[in-house]
Amino acid sequence: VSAGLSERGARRCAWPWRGLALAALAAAWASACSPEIEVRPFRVELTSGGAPWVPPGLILSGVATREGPGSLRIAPATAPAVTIRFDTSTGAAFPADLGGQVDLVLDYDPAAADPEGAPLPVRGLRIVDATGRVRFVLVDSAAAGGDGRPLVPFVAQQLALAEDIPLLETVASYAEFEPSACGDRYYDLLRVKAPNLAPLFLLERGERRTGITVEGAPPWTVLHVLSWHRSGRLCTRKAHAWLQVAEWR
Amino acid sequence: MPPLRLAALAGTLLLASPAAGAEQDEVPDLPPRSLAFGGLEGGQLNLSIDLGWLRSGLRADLGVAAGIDFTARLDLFLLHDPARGQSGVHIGLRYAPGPDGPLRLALGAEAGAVLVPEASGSATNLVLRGELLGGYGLGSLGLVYLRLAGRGFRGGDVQDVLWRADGEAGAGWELQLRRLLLGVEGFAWLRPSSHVLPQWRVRVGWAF
Repeated sequence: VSAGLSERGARRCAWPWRGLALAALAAAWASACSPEIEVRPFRVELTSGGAPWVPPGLILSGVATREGPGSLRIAPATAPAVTIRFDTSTGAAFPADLGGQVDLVLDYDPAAADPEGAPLPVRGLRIVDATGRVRFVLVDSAAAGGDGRPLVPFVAQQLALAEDIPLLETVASYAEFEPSACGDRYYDLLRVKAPNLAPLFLLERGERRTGITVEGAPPWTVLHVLSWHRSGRLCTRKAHAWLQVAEWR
Repeated sequence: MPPLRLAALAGTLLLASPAAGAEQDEVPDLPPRSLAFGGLEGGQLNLSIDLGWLRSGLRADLGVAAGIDFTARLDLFLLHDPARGQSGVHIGLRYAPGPDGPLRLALGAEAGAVLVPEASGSATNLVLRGELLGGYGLGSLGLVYLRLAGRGFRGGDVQDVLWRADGEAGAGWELQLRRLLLGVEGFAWLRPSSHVLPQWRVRVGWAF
């Protein structure tokens, strides 16, 4: 470090000042380009007779036929068959033995969108088999609760006390976030609880647990694809939260 | 680019003028001081302002014994989201052995709290941080250095406490003009489970 720098020395240091300013300008420019979090929704598609199908109600009952890991056909007794497809690239799949009489329960909002603004009307679905047991749940939701955290759609919640479905809630690590001009995006972990509210485990993003037995029932697999919420200076045009989860047994 | 960031850059450009720092002629020569390395004599004080992305802040380094400083700093996302971004307060100790020729070394440790505003209320998180610096004096051209830092961050909630670790690796340059201490630093925020994020800061301080 220079001590007692003379005026001559100060003049000699003029050129580094310009270099400093240019470096700061370049760094500021680079930092303005904070990348977005990549989101790859399950993007559930509902079709009937080759055309998009809009559910007339919450529940569709019929006989299910698994056509592939991400394709299930449900044939109601008195209406044309409906095919449900979703993107399986994240590792979720319909259970291999899923079939027979089922109820498809949909959280459908024609105005819902993904974090990029693309339409995403199916925020969640569940499939219940003939015994009344929930077999499959998908969540693809950009809805935020009053606390700013991702809102768990009703299809992934316990709808009856006897229902042996894992309960989900998000937990913020706070240390992990992506800066954004529309509110910093904080990554969340997924807390999975037993139906009696006993905490079972936490899942990082992209993590899954298999062989989870909830109160002696058949084991669940829970896949936490991604969840985050925004905090800070929020914009109305950007989603404030995201939750993407699949669970099946 | 947000107006605040533009203003900050304009300030940087003003500082870049050759006239900056040409005052202070009456002040006698001072022993070397450094914002990054400290190593102050007992009772000496450095006060400084950091302007950067993401974090900007105020810092005080107080010499408590030969080579050992007490450090205190406040920071916030001034250029990014000053009203609703994170803010933090940290205190710590730093040790810098006397210069060995042009070589400089410093070790620091600090503890602090980071406040994260939420939609309802806020979350206060404990932070523990360690830092290692190595530098080389360039005479009248100042001092260049490399800096490594590691941080433990306590998050989560009352049910699940989550510790996360991240780090910083960067390089900087400092210059002393009488009592005026100036520096610029670029560094990478190293995040184990996410991409590396480039950061920078411009430092302006005063040696008391």
